[in-house]
Amino acid sequence: MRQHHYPKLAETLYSDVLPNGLTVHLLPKAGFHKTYAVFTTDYGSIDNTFVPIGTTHPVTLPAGIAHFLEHKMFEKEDHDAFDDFAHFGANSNAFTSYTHTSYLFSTTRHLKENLETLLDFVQRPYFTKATVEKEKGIIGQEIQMYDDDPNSQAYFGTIAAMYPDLPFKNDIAGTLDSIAAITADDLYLAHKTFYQPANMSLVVVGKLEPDETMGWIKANQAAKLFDRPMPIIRSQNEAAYQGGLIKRSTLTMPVERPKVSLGLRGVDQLPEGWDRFKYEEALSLGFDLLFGETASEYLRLYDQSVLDDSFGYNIELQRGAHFVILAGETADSDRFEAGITEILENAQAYLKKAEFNFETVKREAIGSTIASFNSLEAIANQYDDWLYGGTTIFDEVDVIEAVTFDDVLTAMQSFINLDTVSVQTILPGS
Amino acid sequence: MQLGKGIGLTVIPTSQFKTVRVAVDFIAPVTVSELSKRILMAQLLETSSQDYPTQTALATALSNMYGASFGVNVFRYGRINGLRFSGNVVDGALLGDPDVLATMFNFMKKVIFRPLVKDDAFESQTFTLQQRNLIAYLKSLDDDKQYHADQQLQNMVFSDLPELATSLYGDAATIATLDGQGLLADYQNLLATNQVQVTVVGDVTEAQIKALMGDWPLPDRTPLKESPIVTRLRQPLIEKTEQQAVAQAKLNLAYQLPIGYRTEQFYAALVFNGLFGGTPISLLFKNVREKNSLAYFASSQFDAFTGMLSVRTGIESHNRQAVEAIIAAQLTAIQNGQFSDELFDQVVASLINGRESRMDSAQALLNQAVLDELVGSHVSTAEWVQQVSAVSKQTVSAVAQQVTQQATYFLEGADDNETAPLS
Repeated sequence: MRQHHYPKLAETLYSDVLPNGLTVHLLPKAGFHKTYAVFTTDYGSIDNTFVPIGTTHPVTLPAGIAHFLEHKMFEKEDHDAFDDFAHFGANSNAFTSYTHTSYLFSTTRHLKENLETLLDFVQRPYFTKATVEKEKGIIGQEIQMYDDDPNSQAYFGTIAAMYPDLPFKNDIAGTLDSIAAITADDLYLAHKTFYQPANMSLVVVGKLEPDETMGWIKANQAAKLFDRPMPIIRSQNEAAYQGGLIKRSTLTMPVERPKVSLGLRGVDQLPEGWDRFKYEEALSLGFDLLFGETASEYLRLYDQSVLDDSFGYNIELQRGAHFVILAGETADSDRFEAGITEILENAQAYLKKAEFNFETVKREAIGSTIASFNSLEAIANQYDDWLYGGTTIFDEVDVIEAVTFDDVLTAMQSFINLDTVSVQTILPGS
Repeated sequence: MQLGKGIGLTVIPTSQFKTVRVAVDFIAPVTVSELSKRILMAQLLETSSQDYPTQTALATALSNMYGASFGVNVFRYGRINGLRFSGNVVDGALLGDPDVLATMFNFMKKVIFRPLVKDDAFESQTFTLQQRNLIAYLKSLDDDKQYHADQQLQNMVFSDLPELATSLYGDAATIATLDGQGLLADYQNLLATNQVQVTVVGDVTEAQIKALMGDWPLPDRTPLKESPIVTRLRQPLIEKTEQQAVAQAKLNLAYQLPIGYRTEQFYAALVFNGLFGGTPISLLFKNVREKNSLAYFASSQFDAFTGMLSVRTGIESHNRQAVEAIIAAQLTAIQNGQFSDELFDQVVASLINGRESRMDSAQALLNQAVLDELVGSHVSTAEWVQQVSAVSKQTVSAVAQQVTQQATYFLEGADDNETAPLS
């Protein structure tokens, strides 16, 4: 077991890779009463085309399969894993993103039993035709709920418009039609390929004793038989996506005010590891300088009522895509779009004007990162073993400190490309 | 401790967190206009002050305190409402900057006591902009159909007590009538007369905080005497159906359960709610969602300050009757003691897990401390766990028997007949 102390965070992380390939990270938090564990596979909604383990030809499974699998993992032949957790007082849950599926619990008591439940239920699939059919009703309701939510429509709709030729265009949960085609065999196939221990990581944070906890995990894994780890072949463009883009789309929904989202698709090739993380932080600081609450350009648009407190932006860097979405409600969608676009067009000049503010936004980023370590959930959910090749959120303060103003100018120059902007507007109406 | 008459200070010293969290609350009995005024005050004070006249100036001050967060919001517990100024700042020891907490207190003092004022009124440009923004925001809230349904139910249940029906985001019509001069006078009155409660969680001492607040202009005031708990007579059953173009219909139900916060049956009421719909292992969740695939969610909430028990579901419109029947059947089952020992034990374990987990949230510790002051009692986590563990199946059934249905609100999907069955 490796031990790594992070003095700036006053935290010590314990890590190991087990013989079956599973990566484990343990973070004891003094004074905490709760333990939070999350078991993640590097498999999400975009991974529906892949070569199943033991075969040579790629298959494409219906959109929404990863999320469907997440729902179905809990149900076993004679019980529900949810009840096993409940028996020991734990809360359990799961979530699926574009690139990951995570299973989690939080508990103040019976950590060993709950950890074993987590490992066992995720590693022992059980699907039948009947249980798969029943789930379609539940997931159908979930899809409809998001269909009614304009914020969800704005966000995911913008991503779909930026990547019309990639699985990013599909909702994470799929559609009523796509999930109707899912079978138990599909679920077994996806599980066998992507739930290999070598494609998974377990992060446990909070009240725990590292040696004891690692011992429980090792014993649990050693008692199970796994296939030899096999490399996973999935359909994914390694180079930045250069395909089509829907420049403009308009949706009518029963909303009070127009909602406008601008999606900026990155078409630059990203560096690896530490440098990738640094690129992301440089972008984040760059957007703070242009559109953050301390930015004078933001204040100008705010005072002109072009945008208001509903305005926000998200920088997303994921396996297979990176993009920024700027979104808000506005009385006048044309002015909103023009105001944002003008700042993007002149980003380098505005950034240089805002250089005096660089240390301020950097300070804020550092403080917010340290503060996020108050939350067991934030630590464990954000921990990602794959994206930055060994650099993790524990290195984030160092990464931010290393970013120079020139790094910001370079990253923003490399990222912003006005030819790959997609604008989605949701207009009031029924 | 008391910093003065009607001015309380509670410090929870702990090194568990990376930050120090501060809340300064101004507390008074709730009315519709009081609540709406506070919400507009919150909007103004969060974005401007004499020393930080623009949002950018205010945000820059916070960024320079290493991304400290600051917010102004409004809370309500039963008959009481409060205007809360909250701050959260990274512990100076982690930053190598021991002065950051003092900077935060100084910042809060300036924002609270030196609002952006011109000619005896909130500065008119800022006032007009923020009033307009708030009203626009209130209108957009209705885009969220769950919020809409919840608010409709609230309006039905508290038609005779509008101060409890009003949204915590305010009443747009009342907010539209406010002006900068009147609101400033109201704010100055609030600062001078409201009960003040200051609460701090972090690696600090009471003496330290007292010293940091030494120059705050807080004169003595009459302490608040009102209890937050609302007691009501039994209300007649009412029903309302509304149609909108939504894919998912919302069925919301309200019940009366006259058991007050920390009264004798309070812990049994918590277990009852956990069993009925308040936990993800509850009867509602199991039977509406899991067994019958009728809903994506079904849950219950219990407010011990108003005695309101509510149920929320998201369903397909044509399933309404089936869902209502299942909900009623779960209540009857609890009244008759028809639930397994295993489920009962799971619910108790789940509630204990939730309560013990709250000790890991500075915000939860802070909220609990304020509540303790309002109701004038304190219950430690260990005592709470012991009380919940002592609840029997019989007392839970006895609680369930006191539940009476009061209102049904149904938001019906307009084109639901065209939706094909899902399974």
